[in-house]
Amino acid sequence: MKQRHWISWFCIALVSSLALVAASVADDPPATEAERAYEIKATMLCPVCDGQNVLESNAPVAAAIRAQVDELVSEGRSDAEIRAWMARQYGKDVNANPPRTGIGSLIWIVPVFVAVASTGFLVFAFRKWRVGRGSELSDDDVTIVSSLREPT
Amino acid sequence: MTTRNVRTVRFISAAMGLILFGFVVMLATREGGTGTASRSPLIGQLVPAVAGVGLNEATFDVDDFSDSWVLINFFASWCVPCEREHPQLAEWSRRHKKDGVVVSVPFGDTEEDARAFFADHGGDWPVLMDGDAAWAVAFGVLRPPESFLVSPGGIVVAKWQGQITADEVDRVVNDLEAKAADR
Amino acid sequence: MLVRGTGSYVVIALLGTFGVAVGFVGAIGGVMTLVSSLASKREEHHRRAITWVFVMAGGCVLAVTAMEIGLLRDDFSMQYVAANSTRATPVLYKIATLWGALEGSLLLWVFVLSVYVTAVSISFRRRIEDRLVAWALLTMLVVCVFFLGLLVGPADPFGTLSIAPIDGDGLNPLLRNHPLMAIHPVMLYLGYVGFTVPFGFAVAALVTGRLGEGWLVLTRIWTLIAWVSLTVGILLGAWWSYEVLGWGGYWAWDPVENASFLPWLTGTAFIHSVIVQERRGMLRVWNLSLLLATFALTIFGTFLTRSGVIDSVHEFSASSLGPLLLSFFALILVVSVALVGWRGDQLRSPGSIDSPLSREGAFLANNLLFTLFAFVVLLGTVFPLIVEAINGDQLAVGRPYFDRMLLPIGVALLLVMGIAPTLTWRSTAGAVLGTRALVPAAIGAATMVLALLFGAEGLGPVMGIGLGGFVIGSSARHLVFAVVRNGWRGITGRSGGGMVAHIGVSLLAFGFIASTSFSEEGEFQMRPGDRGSVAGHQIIFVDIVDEMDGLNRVVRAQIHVEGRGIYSPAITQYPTFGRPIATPSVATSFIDDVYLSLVAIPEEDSDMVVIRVLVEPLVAWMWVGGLVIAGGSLLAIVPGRRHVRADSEEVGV
Repeated sequence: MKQRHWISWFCIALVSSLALVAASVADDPPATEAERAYEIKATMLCPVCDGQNVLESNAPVAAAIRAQVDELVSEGRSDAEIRAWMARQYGKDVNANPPRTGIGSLIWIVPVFVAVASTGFLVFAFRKWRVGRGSELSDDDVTIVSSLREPT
Repeated sequence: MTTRNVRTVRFISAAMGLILFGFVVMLATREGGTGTASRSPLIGQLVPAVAGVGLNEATFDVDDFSDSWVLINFFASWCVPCEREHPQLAEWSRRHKKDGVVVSVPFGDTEEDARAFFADHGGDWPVLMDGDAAWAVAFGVLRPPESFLVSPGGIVVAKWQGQITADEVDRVVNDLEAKAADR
Repeated sequence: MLVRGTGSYVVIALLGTFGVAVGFVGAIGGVMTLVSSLASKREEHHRRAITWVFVMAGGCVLAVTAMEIGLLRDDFSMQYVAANSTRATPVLYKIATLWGALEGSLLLWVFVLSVYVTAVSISFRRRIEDRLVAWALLTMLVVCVFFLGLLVGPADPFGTLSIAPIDGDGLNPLLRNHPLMAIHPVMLYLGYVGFTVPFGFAVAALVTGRLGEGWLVLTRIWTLIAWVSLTVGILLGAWWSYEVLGWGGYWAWDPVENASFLPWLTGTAFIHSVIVQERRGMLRVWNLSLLLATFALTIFGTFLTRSGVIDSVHEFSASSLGPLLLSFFALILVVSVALVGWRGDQLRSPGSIDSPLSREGAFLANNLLFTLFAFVVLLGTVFPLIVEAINGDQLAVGRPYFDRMLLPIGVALLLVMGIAPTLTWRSTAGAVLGTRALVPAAIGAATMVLALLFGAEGLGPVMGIGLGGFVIGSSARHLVFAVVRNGWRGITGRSGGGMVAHIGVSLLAFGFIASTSFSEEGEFQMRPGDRGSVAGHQIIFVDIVDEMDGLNRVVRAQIHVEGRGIYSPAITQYPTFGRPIATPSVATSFIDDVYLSLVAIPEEDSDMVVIRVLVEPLVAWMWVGGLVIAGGSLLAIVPGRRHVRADSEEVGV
């Protein structure tokens, strides 16, 4: 690879990482009461409308829950307390996030396990393919061929 | 190498088959949805506080009625079953002039509409506005109409989702009164 | 006026019943002909099945026509018409009522299926003596028998009422207040049902043991047609829910949405990995499994939506079809798993993948990610059922779960999508990659900076936007070189069309990321003349209009959005439908949408309304992106230049 490519790649990497750092700095966790209430409403499902959260739903029960979440937040209750209270009133399935404990935690673990296992399987397959191959084409060979083909 | 590959394929298909078979069995043996028989975590509990100034300017507090039956009815003027069950509420209220009271709480409704609803359909029992929906949430109301029966002593004894009849409510009342008399 | 012109009207229902019966007989006749001639190895008799296919198609056309006549002529002696249509329903929605409820939607399903099977028969009529084609046709006809059987028995759309009511009940008003409702289900069915064709060929290839690449070439165009229809159908559904439901979103991870999304995911994985099989002869088991899974998932989706297993806004009324659909699903699974297991020995791939850093490596990564994506969506959809079966707990799996789990997969997919076009087959040298990916990467970095300048924030969103820029860069680079080399035909064919579709995906990703991450909202109590402001948009509440539209009371708030004009979100009270329905109004532009919905209408002797204003950036890009994807897929169907020298052509840049 030519020298100026390294420089260009370095610039791109630098700009990208600066941009990403700037992006994550600008993004702050919910701080005000309104933001907290918003977060709770957005992650709570309206019990009668199948899939919509209480923030978006027009159903009266969603309006009722919204009003109560505002009330409880301003009373200084914690997020966990409010969620638990709503789950008691309307059933566990008002929380859009499945629990992280008990059998419900499987939904978080299984996909990660499947991802790791299938990636592992692919890596294993690549190994096998490599071993099973007759003559190996090294990276250097490829470099030579492609640099010859490339009109510089 | 070939045989190993074949075995891998067979093994994986057998495993997938088993998992999917279990899944289908689970779906097939699943029971249908629950009926309108209503469970509520409130049943057997002390009634949540319901108190305020009614639309007819009279104050009401559920605690003041600890020696009578209280039928708390969540309704809305736009709700058709509520309209249909209204005469039944009136009937129940008439039957229990001495030992019971109906309280109506508009749910997802405006004060004007609730007032107009009672002007149209009659009913002289207290109607309380649920300002910040605290009662609706405390009772876990999903969609109107929903009714809760509170026994003398302030314990929630029954919950109905959907239209009710005076007879249905009285069946529970008579049941419990008979039990109390036995004791 | 209880019964109007009884005689002539019952005729229509009879005609429909007759059509369904003819269709059923045609499908059974076709199956029996093929079974007997396949069993007796008399290839010359295969041709007779085509006649039966025409009989079946004729029956289906008759049935659909009968239903449409019944709907258009308000024949309320037909149970389906009485339950789902009214006299006052506009003509467009009368036509669309065919797919508004359970029985009619199955009728449409059968109709689309018969059209596909007829088209396959016609296009393969010269090769029908080939056992592979015969087996494929047989498989498709068995599917036809099943669905026509549903119409004959448990889901008969042509039931009649002894006393015709004066007027029908009508559909849920949500289903008849936007013209998109007339196209979205049809497109969706074209996609869903279309996967029956490649499924038929996959089964045929497994049964006949002819697992070479031949059958893939045969089905390529059918798979692409099904895929593009499904893509468009899903996006139209998203658009409809955005325009109608009033919450300002377009995708709720609702079980039924997921049911349509699952076959799309496996289908997308297939149309990518099949390229590896065509080029290198590898991944045969995998490709067949993907096709079998795609079809199985369409049936599973049908089961979910029509059995009442899962609560959903899209659900058809619970019916007795559940066990039947579940049995059919089980049958498909058994057949698929058994066939793959049985033919396992012949599926061994002759080639090998030399390096992860190659086109094939990128396709493998793509497949891994899409499968994982589909797995997460499937798990999230059925998990509440599993937990309930195990310990009776009621859980919900909502958007936050899908967002969290799918975000990393989506980001990885964008990354692969950007890198793949810069890779060569077999293996790619680092230096080649360094040269080719440079400009796209620079475009990606520039996109990120640009996004920051426009006020984007958050690691995930900005990274996604940057990768979108990267994808556009590398796809455009590929297209530019293809056009320089081959003229405008460079954008056709699988690779050209594919690159166009990738650009569409990036536009869609921009719209999705911006509208979900950077929307702002406000709720205002307003009197006429009041102003409000959200995200720099001034709105003025002009006036309220309260009028009767037939029997429905419609209250509209006229709102002036500065620079965009007057928009009127409304609330409608339908006499036959309890709660009033709000209809939003959207001021669209390519920069952002101002989404207005009326939350509360004035009470008596007051003129105060409550208006929710949502400003969502770049939403329109999603619909444009969808259009570009569809265009790209159509370009891919046009046969491109044969890539005889694809390897060298790429390196020679």
